[in-house]
Amino acid sequence: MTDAAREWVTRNLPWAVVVLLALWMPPVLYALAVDVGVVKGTGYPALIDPMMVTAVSELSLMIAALPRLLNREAAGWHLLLWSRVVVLAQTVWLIFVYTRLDGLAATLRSRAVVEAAIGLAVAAYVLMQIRPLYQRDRA
Amino acid sequence: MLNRLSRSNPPGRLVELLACISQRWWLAASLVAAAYGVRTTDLDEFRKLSAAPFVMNLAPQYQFLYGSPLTFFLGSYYRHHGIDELTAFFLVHGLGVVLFFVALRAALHRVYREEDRSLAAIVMLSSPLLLVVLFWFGKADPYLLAAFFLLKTTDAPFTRVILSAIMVAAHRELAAAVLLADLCLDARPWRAVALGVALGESALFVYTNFMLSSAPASRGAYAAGNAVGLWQIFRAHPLLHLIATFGPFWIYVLTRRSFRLSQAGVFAAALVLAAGTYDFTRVFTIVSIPVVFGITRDAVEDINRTGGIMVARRRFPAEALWVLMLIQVHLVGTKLLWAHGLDLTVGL
Repeated sequence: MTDAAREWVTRNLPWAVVVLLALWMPPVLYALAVDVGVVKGTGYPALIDPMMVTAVSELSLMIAALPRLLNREAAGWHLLLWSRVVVLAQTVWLIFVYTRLDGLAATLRSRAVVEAAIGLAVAAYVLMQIRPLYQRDRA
Repeated sequence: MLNRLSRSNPPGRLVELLACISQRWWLAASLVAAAYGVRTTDLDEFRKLSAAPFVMNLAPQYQFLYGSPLTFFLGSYYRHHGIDELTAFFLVHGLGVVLFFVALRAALHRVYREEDRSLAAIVMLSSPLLLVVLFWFGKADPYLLAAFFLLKTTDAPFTRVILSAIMVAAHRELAAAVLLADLCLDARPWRAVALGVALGESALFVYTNFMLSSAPASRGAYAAGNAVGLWQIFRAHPLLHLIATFGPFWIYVLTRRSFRLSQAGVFAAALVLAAGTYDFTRVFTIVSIPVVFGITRDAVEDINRTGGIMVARRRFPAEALWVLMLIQVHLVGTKLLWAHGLDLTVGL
């Protein structure tokens, strides 16, 4: 990545997080609403489902990172990194569950796993590239 | 503020109340929203299109909607992640309205000093802009307008490419018209915008011609089929159409000392384009938004200098200008839309 590209990504990362939250939060909130009985529905993951727990954790970390990313604080970068670690755990869990049903080869070729792998690889690359641009936390 | 209001005399209290609202444009916008209400549109089409965006399942007269796929793809995403169709409809378009106001605020922050921002918003929202958002809840207009406002806040070429492409995805014809109008009025670097439009148009071409089960009827075909009827409406009520263009914003247009030729040209082009459409005020307002943006800047300067606007040798104070926002008119075919579903049909 060039310096200009790093700078552009760092400046626009908070807005990218906002867009991702706008896309990812409503389905999770809807599933939560079904779980607590506010909305009628069936087939949604329960609150204690590992997929649900990791999804809520991921979104919470992203929300916590947002104000810090706007101020270019290192803590924001770390929170965003942790949110990706949670997604990694979620993907591992997904592979574990699907492998028991479909076998490892079919699971690794599945759309959900391929999308997660590409997303994680891109996020890891971008986060490592922009790391120097986040200053140390203010005392 | 409330303590101050209660201590003052009644006329003084009124002036203070007017001034209080004029300093908070969002409060004035909320009053307009409460007074006029919200109208939904294209709900059935949203249901069908978001369920299967790659299958041609709309009647020919609605197939032009495939040229504005942004909201339908967002709806499709939410529906495929377990959200029901009605919630997805309100979610997608509600987020669009939120984005519209966030982008408007960002544009105001970029262009105006802190003390002028509320006044600028009040002047700008005296045009039918707010009713375009409220009365067409179901269209992708808030996304298109938000992307345009954000375009005004950035000089970064890559960001401008993305925003221009988003505008095209929201409405391919209106986006091209708005960006062309802006190009005529604002001499900023245009290459990034042109690239964004080209990318957006290419993506839409691939979508409509190769990814859809069959190519949809275009907006051009729809407009051509209705051109005679629309022209008859325009010819029967030219003054009404003229009033329905800027609405109360006309007061800022007419009280200006000068009017640039390029602004007049964009106004005329927007008028011709809108006259060829059923939703006259909506189309005019969107296409002429660069003109509204420019006139607002001049109007704010004038108001700051004189403390208000001069109408028939009387000064209309700046504190009361937000009241103009409440006097709106919205023309759709032969219908005048008014507050909370009240419509008036004009004869031919």
